[in-house]
Amino acid sequence: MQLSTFLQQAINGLSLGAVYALIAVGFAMIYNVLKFSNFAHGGVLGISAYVGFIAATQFQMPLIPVILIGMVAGAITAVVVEFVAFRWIRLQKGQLVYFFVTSVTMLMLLEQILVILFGASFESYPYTLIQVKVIKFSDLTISVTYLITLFVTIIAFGALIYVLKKTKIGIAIRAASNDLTATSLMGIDVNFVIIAAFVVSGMLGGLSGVLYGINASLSPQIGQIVVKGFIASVLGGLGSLTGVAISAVALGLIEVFLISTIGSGLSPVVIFLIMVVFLLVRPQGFAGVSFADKA
Amino acid sequence: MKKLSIALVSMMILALVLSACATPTAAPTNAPATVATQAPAVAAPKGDIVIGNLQDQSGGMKALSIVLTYAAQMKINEINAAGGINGHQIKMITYDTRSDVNEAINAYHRLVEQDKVVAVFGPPVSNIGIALAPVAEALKVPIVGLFMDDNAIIQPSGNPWTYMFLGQDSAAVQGKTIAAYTLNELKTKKIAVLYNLQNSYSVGLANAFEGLVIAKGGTIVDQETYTTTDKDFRAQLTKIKAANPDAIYFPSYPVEIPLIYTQAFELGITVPMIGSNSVPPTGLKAGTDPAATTNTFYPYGVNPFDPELTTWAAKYKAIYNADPIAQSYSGADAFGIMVQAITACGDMITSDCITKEMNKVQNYKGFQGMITMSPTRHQPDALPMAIMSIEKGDPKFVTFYTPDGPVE
Repeated sequence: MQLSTFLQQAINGLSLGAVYALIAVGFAMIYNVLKFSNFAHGGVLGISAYVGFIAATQFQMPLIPVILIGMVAGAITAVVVEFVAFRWIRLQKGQLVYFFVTSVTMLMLLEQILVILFGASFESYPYTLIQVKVIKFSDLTISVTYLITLFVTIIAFGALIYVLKKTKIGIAIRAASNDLTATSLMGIDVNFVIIAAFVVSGMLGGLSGVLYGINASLSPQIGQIVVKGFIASVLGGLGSLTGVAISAVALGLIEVFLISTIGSGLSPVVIFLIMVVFLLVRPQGFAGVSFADKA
Repeated sequence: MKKLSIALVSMMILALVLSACATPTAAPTNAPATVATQAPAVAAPKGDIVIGNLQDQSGGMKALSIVLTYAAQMKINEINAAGGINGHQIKMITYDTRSDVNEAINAYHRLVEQDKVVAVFGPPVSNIGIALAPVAEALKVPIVGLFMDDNAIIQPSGNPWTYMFLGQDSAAVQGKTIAAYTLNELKTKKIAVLYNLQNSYSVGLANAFEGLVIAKGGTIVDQETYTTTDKDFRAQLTKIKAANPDAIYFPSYPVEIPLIYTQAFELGITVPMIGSNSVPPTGLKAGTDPAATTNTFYPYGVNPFDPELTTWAAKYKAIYNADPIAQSYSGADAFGIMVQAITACGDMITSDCITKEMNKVQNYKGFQGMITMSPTRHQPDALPMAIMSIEKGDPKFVTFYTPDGPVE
């Protein structure tokens, strides 16, 4: 492989990894608090992507408002999902597996809502949403869409870290992620903390939905990309948001280099094998500190 | 710890299943177990002639499939308004396949066993055509459609499937036609191919294209594949770019085409991008920058700017508020030859008779040209294809072409 090709593939991998990182961090956010893998995050991502699409096509809004509307839609959808699907199980002190099964069901339900509203065919964001398409360095090209994704991912991740470490609600979320019962006994309104976690997760889902929708295309199954977030979360360690983000970027790189070497048919097989090995050898992921009660 | 690991592995398997959910079901290679061993007796209709229609009305191929229903309904309205076929009105029963093989098989069973149709109008989806072929062999009701892969109409033995008929050029003919154009007219020698290894249509076109390129002395400098759920083709396109081809052939489905155009453009690929007949309805959508579709060529069933087509196109647009696409014209032709076969049966309109008459269709004047059905290949004798390009986002007719070269 020539150096320029290698570098281009690395750029491709980093670009893809940036998209995965946004998805994975939003996915891991809920795990941190409620200790279950929230596949409904994919449905939140899908709903937000379509809301952004409507804003861009029906109302001809520019990029920034489209992103913000997608984030608001994500937050609202995530809170509705928490209220409809998870709250009752939590109040009944249901087992973690109930949360997991419900989250998968919610993903399918939200997909079907999109099928009913938009049909099963695909849609595309208007190409005019981002005017400049590509930046060139000699033989290398970087898609501006992906560059924006990378930039937004860094901003969002920075903001998330700030919120979690410097604000009261962030500290409350971190406390809840350590021990929900103890947090409640300390007089913190746990319901409010959990809603806050879903709002943050939903905003990240909305952001990733719009950006992924622009990069790829829209179909009701768009939310199934959450599987990449799940893989990145397992590899990185569901307890560590930084580990999840790093592993998501690594996943993008691995995926691109696998496709360019062994082909797209075998690439998912190898990635899932890596995941199996991780689960058997290091179930807490490379940066996680605890693997107990994962579901 | 072991239990937890097992639980996590189980979750991963579920994730795998989830990730596969969006993938259209692959065509089975053998007849499904549900195929009836005894063919139902399909009697001559006493009143209406009931025809089945299997199209994708809500799935990923809706854009290409629903236009076949439109074309068929226009033809039915014309025939019924003129008194029907030998005094019988035509009634069409449509089921939604959602581009799903199993949905299509179940719907075909329902059409034959419950609705007692005498013939079925099939979808432009090769995976479904391939899956239906052995089922039709058992149920003995002919299917006429636009499933382009030769495997949908030709058995591995080389004989045609008895009840499967194609109403347009097959993938083999289309792949060879655009390959000949790419070599002869674009003066290319080194060609890269990017195709969907899970899609019979894409695989069939790629194989035919590569076969002719190699036979004519050209070289396939790189062959890359992707899967149905893929949205990012940069890894494959970067590798293709490094192989320095003179042109890139990508026989893809509508959902993939705008992404491939855009990502190739973003990677600075400037060589001709050669597509398939799925390009037009989506390649030109608002989602694709016109700059990304310059230097693009693709084959099309008809020249859409042919003055002879404009009357029908205007009528079509007046009814459906959309311009017809290639599949509208090819679909109208496929339905037309089926009607011709039904008409030839006189008062004894049975599935057997229609099947026999389908083999005898000759000189049917269709939008694609004069159609004569080959009784040994169950597809029209090779029809010339229109070669189209895209300029500033709009399609432009270039020339008519066959695997043997240009035609008037």
